[in-house]
Amino acid sequence: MFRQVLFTQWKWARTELFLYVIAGFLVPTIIIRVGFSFVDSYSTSSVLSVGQYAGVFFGGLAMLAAVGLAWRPYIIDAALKHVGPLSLPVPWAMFVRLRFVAGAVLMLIPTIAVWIGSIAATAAAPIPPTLHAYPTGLAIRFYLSALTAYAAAFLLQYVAGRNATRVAVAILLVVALMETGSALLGFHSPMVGAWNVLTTWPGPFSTFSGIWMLIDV
Amino acid sequence: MSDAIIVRNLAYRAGREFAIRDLAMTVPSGSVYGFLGPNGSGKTTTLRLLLGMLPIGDGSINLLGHDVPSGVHKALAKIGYVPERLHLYPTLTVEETMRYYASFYPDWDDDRAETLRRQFALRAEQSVDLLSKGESGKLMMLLALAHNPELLVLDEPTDGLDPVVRRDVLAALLEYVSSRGATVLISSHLVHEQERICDHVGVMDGGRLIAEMPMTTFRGGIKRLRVAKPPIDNSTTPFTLLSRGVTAGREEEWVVRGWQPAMREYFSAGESELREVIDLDLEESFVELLRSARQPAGIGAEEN
Repeated sequence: MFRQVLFTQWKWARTELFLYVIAGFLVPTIIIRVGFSFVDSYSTSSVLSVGQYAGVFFGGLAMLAAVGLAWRPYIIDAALKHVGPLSLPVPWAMFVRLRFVAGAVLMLIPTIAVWIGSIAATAAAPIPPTLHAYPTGLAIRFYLSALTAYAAAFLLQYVAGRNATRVAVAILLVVALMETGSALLGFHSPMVGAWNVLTTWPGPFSTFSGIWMLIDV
Repeated sequence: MSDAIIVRNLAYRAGREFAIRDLAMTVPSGSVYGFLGPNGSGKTTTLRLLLGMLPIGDGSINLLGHDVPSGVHKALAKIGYVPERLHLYPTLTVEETMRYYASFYPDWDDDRAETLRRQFALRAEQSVDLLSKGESGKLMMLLALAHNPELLVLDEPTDGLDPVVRRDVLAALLEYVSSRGATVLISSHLVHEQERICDHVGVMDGGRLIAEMPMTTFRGGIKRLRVAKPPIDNSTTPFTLLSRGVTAGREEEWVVRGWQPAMREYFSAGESELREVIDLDLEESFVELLRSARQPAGIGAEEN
């Protein structure tokens, strides 16, 4: 049962997964290669900043993959009014769990691409002896971040249904407005406070707001 | 004979406009039950309620001995369902779709599925995206039949199909029913099609089940009577008067249900004269039944 659900989601997502794999594999190499061509490879701070730039990309890729994998199956089922899943002899909660786990498994594909890409990118880079490459740590962080975003997007989609996009945009808009308001006018917004709790350590989304270091001390 | 589906006092509301009210329905085991009704009468909603896809407002449903919604998943394992709007996943091939469904049904029969695929001339490697409407309909019927269901719930299964495909689908259905003794609940507004295959019939209109009876009763029991010098009071008729309307002079046409030849006595006992008893075909019976449900007998006569 799970294998068939996984296979179905794989067939739906394989084109975008292919793009994530290409991106996860190539982009770290490009950033490191191009970055190192502009900096003094013996300058620790310059090399660190190159690694940092590569990290920003990984956060974006994790978010993109997470939202895509979380929303696509729901959208396909919703277009057919969920009649297929609801008529199967399994409880809805079990079907949703199968969907969730299948997406989480598929998320391993871009993660592996990021891991291999990071190893390849840093293997040939002239990293100073005081610094080290952390491709495995970065790949683990990528997966955990993607999983967190995936769980949030999945939850939002299955709770808000067809309004999920609107709800997500509305939340982001409100947070942005509050953030701007509190910065310009100096008032304290509970919404901004809640956002900060979620996005700073130990909040679940703090992995996205922190610095992703492919190369570190 | 036990009953495959028992519905009592079922109620459901969808928005302000539409509601299922006080619906009672019994589908005997082994029967082919035609669920008739005009578009928007509540047939699809009722079927979805039966299968636990919508929350029940009030009342009870028993499906193959299991209460809905608590035991619906046990019942669904023994039910083949063809929805009104076909549910097939894009990008999968016919074979992949069959494998997908097979994984959910413990009684899935690979040999039977393969036989049906060949019978319906579906190519295993054909993408579902590229199937014609007729082929999609055949694939849905295959998926409904391949796990040897005890009950088939078919929501407009032949709607929009060309006559050749429709015949193939109905032939497969009848072959299955005759060999397995399965129960079929088939919703349609194609009255003639129902007439050929059903032995029981229920008629929905406006969210209510306005009639439920064996097909023979439905087919033979509704008549149009030409009555001369009709009685003004029709409260003591031995049949159910569905409608009455003036045709010419003092002659009226009555549409009645539950007619028996011996009931001629009713007219000869008074001043009235029964001039003709006209058989109605199923479609005419269906239309008259709907008309009478929307406009009780007597009102038509006053208007005429």
